[in-house]
Amino acid sequence: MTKLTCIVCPLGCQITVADPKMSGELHITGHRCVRGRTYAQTEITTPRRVLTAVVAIENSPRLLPVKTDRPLPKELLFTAMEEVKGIRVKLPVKVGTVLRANLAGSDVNLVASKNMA
Amino acid sequence: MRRSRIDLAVIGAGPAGLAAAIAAAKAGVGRIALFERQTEPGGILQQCIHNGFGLYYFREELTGPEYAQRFIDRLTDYPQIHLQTASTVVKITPQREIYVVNEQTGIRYYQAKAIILAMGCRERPRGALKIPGTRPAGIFTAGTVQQLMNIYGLAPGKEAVILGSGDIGLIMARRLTLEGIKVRAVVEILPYSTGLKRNLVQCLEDFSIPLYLRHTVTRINGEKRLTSVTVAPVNQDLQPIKEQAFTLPCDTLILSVGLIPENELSLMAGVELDPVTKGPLLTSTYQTTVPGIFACGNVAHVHDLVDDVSIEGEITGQAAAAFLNGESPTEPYIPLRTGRNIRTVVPQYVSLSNTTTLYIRPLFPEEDVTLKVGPATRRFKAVTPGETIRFRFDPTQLKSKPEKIPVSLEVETCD
Repeated sequence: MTKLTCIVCPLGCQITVADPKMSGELHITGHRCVRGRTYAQTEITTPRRVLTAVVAIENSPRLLPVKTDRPLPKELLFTAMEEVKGIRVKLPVKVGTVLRANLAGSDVNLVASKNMA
Repeated sequence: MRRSRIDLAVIGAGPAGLAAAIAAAKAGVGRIALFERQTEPGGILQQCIHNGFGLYYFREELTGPEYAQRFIDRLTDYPQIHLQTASTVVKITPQREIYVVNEQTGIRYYQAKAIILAMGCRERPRGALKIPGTRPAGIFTAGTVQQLMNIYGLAPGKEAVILGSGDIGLIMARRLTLEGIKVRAVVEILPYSTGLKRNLVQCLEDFSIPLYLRHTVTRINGEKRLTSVTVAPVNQDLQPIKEQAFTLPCDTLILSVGLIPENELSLMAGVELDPVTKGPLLTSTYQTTVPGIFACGNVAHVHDLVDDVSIEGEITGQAAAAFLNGESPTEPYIPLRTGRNIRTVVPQYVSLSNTTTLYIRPLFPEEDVTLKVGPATRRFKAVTPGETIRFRFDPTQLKSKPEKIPVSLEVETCD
């Protein structure tokens, strides 16, 4: 049995997952919405987190806030940060502009989270 | 001095001011000046690059800058809102005169028919804590570190200790770690964290950062630069147990020890403050004790979630519009009185004709409690000071017009 704190929303439901190592269906209780159930399933198998950071802008001292467009496998967070540090962005960009596809060899993209011109 | 007459002045273009100005414009207010001391609107959201904003308001998870952008984009639909950035309001009067300083235009003077205060809050600094020791470089508030890293791209140091487990401290623990700065520990004097549970998981547990509950920093060490902090457990009375003190080497101490509404301007306008929230006393339409002056967002009371700030801003903008239309609220407001295990309730006065959403902060964590607001009750499995209770109070439940409405958290079952 594994106890988890859901990170989907500020409620922070305490979720219990029974026999997570056994194959077959997981017995998940304590979540208050379907997103909590999905979170528990992912967290038990391949935990993922959204990564946010800032990247440099060409010929400007300003910084662009960025995020992954979906949660990234947790074990790739630091590898991804190394890659993010090397990125130089050309303006203009808008919220959602893809700056790096398949970040750290994953299936998620790094996107701008601010309009900057 | 240049002087202009306007209908509504909104002071601060953070989430509260943006929502209030837009709601007022939508409700038909003509000349609105939105003053912002920074060079761009958005307020503190612009440095909050992490995600988790907007789940209630937009039903999706956004970063701070994205959340701000949604409101900034709406400004273009309302040309009656004149956004004035790099413009600091230095004085307001009870007669609703406003003095604004800007590098290009100098000092300007406005006469407004209504004012919405939306200045936000600021962080409690080291001086508020009275920690003994030297005065070296390397001591920052969490918000300052956030600004240094996310706006200016500067690292505050190499090894950090964070004092206080509020959300900003937890968020910065993760941010520092991802940037390769070692976070030795988060130290919290209370027996529980005041941050959201999900931030304890995704900011501390994910990176195995130790959280010392019932501990505090008792000494700051180092001459030019911080070299270490002394940490000790505390007893029931929150007094350090010196015999059990230990040293954590670090070059950076980050303080995340609370926020205080920024009400210097409110006081100039003669607005009466609540001694506990440190924000103005407010009616259910967010009007202060000075008619025509309203307040919303973190200047009114410190919020857990920006989504609530936006909703509050909208209520305030609509109320200011109603005031300008001459719909002066002549109805009596009934004061709320805080009782058992209640730290704050905002608004402090409720209407007898409309429902009011109350934001209630408990004093201490408790399980299986009943919230009582006059005759209305609601049961809770658990409450904690880190999580504000939202409660819709319906005045039709009142059988007679009371002088005061008591608000309390009780342990016995209802009825």
